[in-house]
Amino acid sequence: MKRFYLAPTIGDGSEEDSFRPAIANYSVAYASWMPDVPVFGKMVLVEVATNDHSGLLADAQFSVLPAYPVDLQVSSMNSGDYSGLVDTLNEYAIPDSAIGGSYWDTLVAISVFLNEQARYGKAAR
Amino acid sequence: MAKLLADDFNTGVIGERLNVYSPDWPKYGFAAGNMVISATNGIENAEGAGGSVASNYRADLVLPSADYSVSADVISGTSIIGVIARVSLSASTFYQARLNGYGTIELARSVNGAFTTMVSAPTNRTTQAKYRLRLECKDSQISVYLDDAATPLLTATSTHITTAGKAGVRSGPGSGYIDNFSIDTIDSVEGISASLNATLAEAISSSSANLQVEGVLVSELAAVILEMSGTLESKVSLVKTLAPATLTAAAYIEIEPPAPDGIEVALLSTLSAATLAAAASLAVNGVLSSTLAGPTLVAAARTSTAFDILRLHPARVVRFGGSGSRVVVFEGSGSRVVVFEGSGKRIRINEMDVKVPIKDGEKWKVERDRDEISYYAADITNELRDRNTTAVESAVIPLTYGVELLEGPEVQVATVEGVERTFVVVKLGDVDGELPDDWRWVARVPCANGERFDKTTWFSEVDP
Repeated sequence: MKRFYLAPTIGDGSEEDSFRPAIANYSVAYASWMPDVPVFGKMVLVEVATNDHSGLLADAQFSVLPAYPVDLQVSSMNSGDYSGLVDTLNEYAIPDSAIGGSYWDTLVAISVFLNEQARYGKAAR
Repeated sequence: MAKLLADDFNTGVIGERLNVYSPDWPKYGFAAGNMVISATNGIENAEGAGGSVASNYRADLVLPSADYSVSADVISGTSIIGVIARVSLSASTFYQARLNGYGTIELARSVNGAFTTMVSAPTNRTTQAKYRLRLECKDSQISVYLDDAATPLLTATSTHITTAGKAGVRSGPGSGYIDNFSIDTIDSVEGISASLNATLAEAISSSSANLQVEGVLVSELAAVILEMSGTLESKVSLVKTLAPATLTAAAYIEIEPPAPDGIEVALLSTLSAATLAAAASLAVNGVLSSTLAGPTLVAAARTSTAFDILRLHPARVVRFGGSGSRVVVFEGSGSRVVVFEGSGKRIRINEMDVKVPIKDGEKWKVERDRDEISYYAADITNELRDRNTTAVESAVIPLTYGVELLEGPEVQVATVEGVERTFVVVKLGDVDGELPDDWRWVARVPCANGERFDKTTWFSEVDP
């Protein structure tokens, strides 16, 4: 099952300690939307494919996003998940304007904000 | 896929540095260590556990474009080791498919020396193992294939490095080996014998190329172009989005190509905005449940269900001798086509479960369920040939008795066993109320020479 997370960036950019999401410390397959210029500690959007998310869900440094198909319109989310998404994004100084259209559109908007934050040093956590 | 270069390092002397083994393998300027010919497997980092990163590239090969793949057998050890592509010679910039120790396969980028792991997957191995890694760069789509799989294990979108650069190898300190290095083009995709799960967006399957998928085609084909006589065949269900795929010239999408048995597969895919040009055809033998909103059908292009099989795959139509003076049946997903030949031999579609015509007095009848919706094709070849004339297509009239006409008539020509045959095709619906004694439909065919004839198909009722 695939789920999306916000996770802090770890590593120093060296070959042996490359920039990567902290999720890399778990033995799971992931694809990260790393910023153009990664920065240690900044949040990054990560897609994780695993049958067991329990370890990640229990790790307080990660914020899991609602589990919906990416082509679903976010307006179709149930109110609890929608407000939870708003709260999660606000926690990382991502404005509500990132939420709109399909869930995929929203994920793209989130990654754009996180990229800007990494590049220009805006607020992360 | 064409091979641009291959090297198995077999002619090297053990312990010899790679750039000595061949001047075509110079050291990469942004790594201090040295790759050497291994005593056991291809090449390895000479520095051992406490040394430096070693990297070499193929200097002699001018890559024709930035889209290519680099492959090698990579044996994991304790090092970070793999192949590199789009290597800049002026900065430590490249993409890398690599093993990170035993446990992880990574797709990474180095941009001016800043390494970022974009995608990663665990190997689930705890000991040394050999993997075939293929790093494929196509536009901004960077993928890693494992052990010659048809689909990538890792894929990332990256616009950080866009020039072809060079291709080579790279190994951190520690144990690990690289062997059977190769560089290939990725200019075409054809003959995929396993399931196709890869993204083919913007891929071009060029003239006469066949994109044939033996397994399930679950790939995104958005913007794929099938040119000329290119074929997209899926032997099982095609379930992915094809919008806005373009099929040009005689290209066609075929679900479940010729097979001797019944066809049960379905086209579930979205074809919205797809363009089928010129003589392109979309032949669906199973259920067509896809969205077709907005497709552009140009010139002679057409979408078809059951009866176009006669035109597209006449080889499936088998005639056989015997006493039957007419018939045939073609069944698929609840619809069937019944072809009345008129005289002589019966025709059927290979080994399908046909409903054999029954001679009732002087009439050959086809069993029909009163709720059935089917295509019927009346073979008028012999009638036209006997009269040495042709049908006036626009004037053909279908006469129905006790059955509803849903579509048609349409005059179609199909080559069956080398003979061009002419059919009048209609789609007939169910029956309301009592069946008439003379339950039938008739193709009334005016001829170019002024004659006219009727071709009658009689029905006898049968329960489904």
